[in-house]
Amino acid sequence: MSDSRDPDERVLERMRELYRPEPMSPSGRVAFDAALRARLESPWTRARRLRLIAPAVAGLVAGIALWLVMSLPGTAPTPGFGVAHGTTSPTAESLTPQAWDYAVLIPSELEGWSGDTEQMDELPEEYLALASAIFGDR
Amino acid sequence: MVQVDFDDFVRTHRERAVRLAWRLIGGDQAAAEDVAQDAFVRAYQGLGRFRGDAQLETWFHRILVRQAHNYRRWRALRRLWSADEEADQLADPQGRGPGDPALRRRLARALERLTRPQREVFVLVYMEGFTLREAAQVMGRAEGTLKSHLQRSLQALRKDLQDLAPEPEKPEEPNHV
Repeated sequence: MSDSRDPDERVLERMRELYRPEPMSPSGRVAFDAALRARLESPWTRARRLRLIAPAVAGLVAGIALWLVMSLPGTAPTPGFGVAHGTTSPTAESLTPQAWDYAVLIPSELEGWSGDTEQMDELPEEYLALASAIFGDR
Repeated sequence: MVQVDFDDFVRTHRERAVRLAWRLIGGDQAAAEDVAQDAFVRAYQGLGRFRGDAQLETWFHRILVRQAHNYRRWRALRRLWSADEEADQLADPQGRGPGDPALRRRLARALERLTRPQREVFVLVYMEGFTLREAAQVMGRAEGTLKSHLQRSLQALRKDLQDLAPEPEKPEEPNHV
């Protein structure tokens, strides 16, 4: 008698037959339950371990990253970092290239920046166009 | 859920959980049991967060499928870092099982070549008998999306495993001499 089923169905049936573990033996079930119970009763489950270890690892990585950034040549005391507002502000001439990056992000750190948009008029044309695109015509 | 109920739940779903994990991670018995146990532990610890808007089984299977994926990722990382032979062999079905081990390895490799959603929906629907709707709930994806993943997985496997289903025998043609 020939098999009249769809070829896909025959492949799937063979896969279901062949691609499965052997059913658990009674002793296998007992071992499984015992291992599971031990895990459930252990105060030191993998999930809890991860919950404790993950923040510690994240803190360590952040610490190393910070140390690396701080120890790079030319990155010593950047204006604004650790300097209280109201103390001597740096001038444009005294800024290192890295400090310029910071000053561009937070222009109030640069002496002479009043926060006024009038100052924007001193910008080159292409910057003005960009500024008006970003901030609008204020 | 009280302890007795959870024990019942484990007893009822243990076998299927191990089989599903086994199929998802590529046929490693010890790892499949480990993944299933992890899923039970997580389900137990998260019972308080179970909102009851899905069936408990669906919720558990969602955890299990995610745990299986996490295991696969961890195994891939381990392979990448250690590149040792032992880790390589983890992709092969180990332990006892029905039929030819070489054939099981071939099936595992064919499934390995599928994308994650293709493999997961294929195993859930075609091998474990979930409905498309149940699989969509387990995987957290739309039924329509899963339908197309299912189609593609079937196409890919058909190409790889066509010889598993030999053409039905045709009646012999008479010899014309």
